[in-house]
Amino acid sequence: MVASSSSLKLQDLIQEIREAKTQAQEREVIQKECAHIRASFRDGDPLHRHRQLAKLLYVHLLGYPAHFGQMECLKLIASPRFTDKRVGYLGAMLLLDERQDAHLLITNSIKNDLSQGIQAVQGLALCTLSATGSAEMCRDLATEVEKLLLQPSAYVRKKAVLTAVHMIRKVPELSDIFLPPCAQLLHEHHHGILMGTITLITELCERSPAALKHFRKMVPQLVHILQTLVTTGYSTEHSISGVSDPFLQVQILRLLRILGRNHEESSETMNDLLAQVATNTDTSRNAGNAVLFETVLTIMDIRSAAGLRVLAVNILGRFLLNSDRNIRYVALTSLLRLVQSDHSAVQRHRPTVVECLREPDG
Amino acid sequence: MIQAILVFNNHGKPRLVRFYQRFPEEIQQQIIRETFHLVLKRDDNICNFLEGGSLIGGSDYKLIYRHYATLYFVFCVDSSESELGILDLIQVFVETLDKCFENVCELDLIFHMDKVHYILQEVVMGGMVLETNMNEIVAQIEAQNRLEKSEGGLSAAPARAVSAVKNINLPEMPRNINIGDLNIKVPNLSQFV
Repeated sequence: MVASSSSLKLQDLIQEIREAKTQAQEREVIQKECAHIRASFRDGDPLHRHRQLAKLLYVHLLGYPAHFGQMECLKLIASPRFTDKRVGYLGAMLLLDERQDAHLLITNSIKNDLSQGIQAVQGLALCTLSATGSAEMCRDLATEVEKLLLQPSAYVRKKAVLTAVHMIRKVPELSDIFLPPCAQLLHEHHHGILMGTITLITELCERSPAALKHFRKMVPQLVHILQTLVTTGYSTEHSISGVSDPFLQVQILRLLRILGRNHEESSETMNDLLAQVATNTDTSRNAGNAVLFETVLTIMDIRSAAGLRVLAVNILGRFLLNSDRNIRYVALTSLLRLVQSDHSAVQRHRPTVVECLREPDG
Repeated sequence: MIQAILVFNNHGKPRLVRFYQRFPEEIQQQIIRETFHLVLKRDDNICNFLEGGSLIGGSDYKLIYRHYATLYFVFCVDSSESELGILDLIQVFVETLDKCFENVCELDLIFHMDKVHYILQEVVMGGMVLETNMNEIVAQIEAQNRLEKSEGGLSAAPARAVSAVKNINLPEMPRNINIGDLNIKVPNLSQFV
């Protein structure tokens, strides 16, 4: 009872810790508070539980032991209140370890939360699953996640897609479940879902030659999506410094690279688009350069036309002369990769590279 | 994939720590310290990429960071991420924080550690980029705040308390000398550099 009546608020604890003048004082404040938190956990006080856990997570951030809060996370997750669940799931992600038994107990709560209608709660469950889901959990919950891929809420769908990626990484056999919905997901207009879907397809293609073959049929569709992005231009929602959703563009370019590698027909389908992106992207800022750089890498990796390759090497040359050090860095690291395949092209840039050796940036 | 997201201040005090790959707790703290020492010795005018420290996996991983006034935002990523893209992602995250907290400063991150995590969860999930549309991220956070408020009780009150704490706190900072010190300066909010 002592613990709950004198329960400090999170902000008060932080304030007290900040007032500590020395490391020793800080340790003292924290040890005292941890004793209170433990006592409160022992008393099973449900009213203050979420506050106690929040304090414990702060203490954890500072590097103090917090493992004794693990079971409390589970209790909070099982609570009907969103406020409890949210901090409970956060605690689970920060404190739980895959190898611990607590992990098995969480599976049921996640299952319940995935199937209830509140999207914020479904989102929390998916987030936790994608961050800490063990192979066993993934096997148990794959069909639940599959159902959510075609849910009306875009918010839930985009999280379900990324959870699917995590599940495939943990349990490659689950690819069979998550490959079929991709075709439909590619018709989405929501950028977050498209972004996740491209990540999912990339993961599938990297894992299996059969999937790679399957998705090569979708190259025209991917080209179309990228084309639309490039030509629609500015939107306040998705543009970064005037470049239309560079994150999605980069992700699609990476997938195209995998699909076009050693494949004549796919490479040819993307040829014109790559030429267009390579010539039309505004490079006055970082976002444009991120897209352009990704385009160059894709051109060099696939069976692209000779003219296009020349263009790509020239762009790299321009990057080397860029005043932005970050751009020069990526250009140099990619030249390093190209040196094996395109020796002569790289040779032309030798003087510039030698010049870069004078950089103060070691 | 993003391996870890670390935010610490100029003295190496952690303000936000999120690992997407499991490390034992002692190692996590060591990684934070190692990363801090790696980025600390870098001038502001050199490039924003470097190889990961030995604890997090060495040259297979890259540290991509931005330094805003008192805070370092460091993303540790593997080769499947675009370095330049991650630089913009950090900016998206910081601008989103700025929208959610109205002129975000280090104190907001300290006193709202949980909220900062919830915001991050709407940007990055399981080490993968989830959403980069700031309006949508902010809308989701606001919806969650409403849900929290509707449940009322203990959780609704702190906002006022915090602003009180913040005000009490300010004089102890060298505010008159350099007001900019406390703010995460996001110099050209409308334009990415």
